[in-house]
Amino acid sequence: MTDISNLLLDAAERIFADLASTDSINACEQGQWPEALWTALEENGLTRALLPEEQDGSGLTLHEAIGVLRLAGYYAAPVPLAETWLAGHALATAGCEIPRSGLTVPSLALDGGGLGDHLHGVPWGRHLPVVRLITGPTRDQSRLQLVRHATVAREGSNMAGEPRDDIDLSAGETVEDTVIAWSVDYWLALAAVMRGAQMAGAVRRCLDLACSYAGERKQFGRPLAKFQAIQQQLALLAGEAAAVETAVETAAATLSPDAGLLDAAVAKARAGQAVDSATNIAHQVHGAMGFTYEHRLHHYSRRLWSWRDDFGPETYWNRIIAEQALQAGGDGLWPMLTALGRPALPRDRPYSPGRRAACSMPALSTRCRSKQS
Amino acid sequence: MTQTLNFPHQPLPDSAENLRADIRAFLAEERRQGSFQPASDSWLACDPEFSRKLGAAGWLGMTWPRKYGGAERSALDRYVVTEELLCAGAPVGAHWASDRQTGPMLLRFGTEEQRQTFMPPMARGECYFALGMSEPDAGSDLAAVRTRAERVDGGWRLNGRKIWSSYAHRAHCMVVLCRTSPRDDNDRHAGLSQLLVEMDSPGLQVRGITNLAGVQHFNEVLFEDLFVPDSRVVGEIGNGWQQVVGELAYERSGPERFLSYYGVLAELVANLAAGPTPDKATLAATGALISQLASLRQMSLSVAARLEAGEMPALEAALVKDLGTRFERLLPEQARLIAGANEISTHQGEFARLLRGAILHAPSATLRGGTNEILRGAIARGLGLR
Repeated sequence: MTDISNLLLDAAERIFADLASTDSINACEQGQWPEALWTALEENGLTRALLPEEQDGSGLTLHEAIGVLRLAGYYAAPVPLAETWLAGHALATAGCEIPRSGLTVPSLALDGGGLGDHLHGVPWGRHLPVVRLITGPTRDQSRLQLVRHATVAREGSNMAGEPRDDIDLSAGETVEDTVIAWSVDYWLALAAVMRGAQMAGAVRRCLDLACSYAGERKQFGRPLAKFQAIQQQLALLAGEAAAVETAVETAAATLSPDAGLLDAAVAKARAGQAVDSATNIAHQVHGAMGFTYEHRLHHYSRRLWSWRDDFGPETYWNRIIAEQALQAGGDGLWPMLTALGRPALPRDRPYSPGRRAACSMPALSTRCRSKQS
Repeated sequence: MTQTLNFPHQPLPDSAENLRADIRAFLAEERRQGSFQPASDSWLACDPEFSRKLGAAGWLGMTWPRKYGGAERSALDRYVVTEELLCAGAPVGAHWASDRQTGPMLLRFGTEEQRQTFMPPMARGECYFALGMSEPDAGSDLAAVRTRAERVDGGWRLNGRKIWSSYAHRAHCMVVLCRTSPRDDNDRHAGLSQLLVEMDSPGLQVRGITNLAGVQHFNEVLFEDLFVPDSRVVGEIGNGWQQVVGELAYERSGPERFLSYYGVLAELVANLAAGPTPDKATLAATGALISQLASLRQMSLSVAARLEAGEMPALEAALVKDLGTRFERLLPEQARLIAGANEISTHQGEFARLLRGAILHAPSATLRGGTNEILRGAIARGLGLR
């Protein structure tokens, strides 16, 4: 990891820990825009991590920056950070000026053009300009639009209470309308990896919350953590957390406009597959307390139940993978698998001891525990 | 200190990837010659002739020093060869234990004479080892071993029995974990040692155990006043436990923990590709198997890179084994359902043959090398729960 990405990670963690509090997450659910949190993210350059330095960004690669999104998920930060990164990255790539505000993208429509100007379930759509990609003019190119002041046809929310609004772009102001050398598939894959990183963080938080709760809650005279039945369940949850983190880490390292689409598919699919098991175990360990609104576990479980459907659910991505596999055939499947995880560009440096995954953080469990005690 | 999960992305180096074409060409040629039929669980399929061919081609003992018959290649090179062999369903059972376990163990703990004697023939695919760990009353609870060795003039006298030793009836030697001093309930791991026993020694008897698939691959091995000379003590007397558990990460995170039934998946895909375009549910279910396998492989590769760099990611390795072997249990069942929904025969043809082998062998996937329940206990300890 580069120094700059470590600096951003430290800043992100501090800001999320301070400002993505239970109260502020709940306030957002009541419809409030998280002004203090968003401003802090902007002031620390965290909304522009992927943008080139000429555009006032940090110039990080997705792999270098992905840990920030994972932290956003770990803290259930109620902000359109992934959406802003994705939209800004597209605008920058197309050579457009990037607005200072947050940005959003259509979340449910897999191809922004397929549904015309009426977009459903746009994250934070009532607050933000929309960037969308429309297929064509060629296979590797798309039409990119930035639309401001679109009509909010209906305000809604996902299962976690995050804004998901129906937007009508037809009466909005189209600020940019240009061609970008990205396929819509790549755009969607980027979005999926970014949301997958948030999911990795949320699954990890489910693990940490469940581990600390099991350490504190006593029944039959001893902490839940001392029961083998509970230990076995938490070990399974740890496996899910590890699998999601690894898949996202791999995709973030390999995805480019020319390569890594299947790695992205694996990442979002694996993240989606983890949700049922991870939330099941975390809720079961928390007992009835975790089913209350008062306890914060639902900040993570409800997000996971929502996010798994954003930018393609696991069924969508698994179909993409299977279609590729069937094209490769029985003998081609293994070469397809061994080509995964390999960056198209020359690889960075060889592994050196102590190197941390971009999508992993040291001792989150410990920190989480000490905060609670 | 609380361990954390760390799986940095680390693609295989080009030097390792470059081997892939060679081993694939070798396997294609062997297949063409009909030297083996792909099998489920092929790391338990024993074919000395095939092992000798691998040895001759330089694909055994790859990481060992040249002076012991090795090629001084990296463990990541060996990873590529291993995963290619497993995916091809090649019979690698004869040399499996010596190549994966005994060779590296002798390299770490053995005497110069032991290395000189055993490692070159192991690397040639001519000398096979069995593992002598479990006993009738010591399975997951390995520290409960009762096989004992008593000090006698010039060596040790071994009495007791081992069980579940794969291919003990075809192996030349066995490394036996035994008690060299009485059990101490305050330190159950003390007083254990490892002795290298040649299978034709007087006082050794092998009794085959037929598994539920009708195959004899594991055995009970009895020792009655068997003399083991001092020169066949591996490592230090009393250090057996540390020698056995010290390298568990190597054995837990390898590709054999999720590729044992890969052939079932490949044949499923081949059948689906040959038929009418499958419905979306079939594609999603098939893709789910592939995405799980892909993520497991990345986890395993990440652990392999850390091991190669000298780290000991024990928690991560345990997670790979638990997830990987549960995937091995899931794969045949899911493949069967997908096949049923797509009119792929589970009675005849290559898919049916491999599926049958996988279903019959799958119960052992989550047992061998330590049960998943014990493994999860270790994971829980790594998470700071116990």
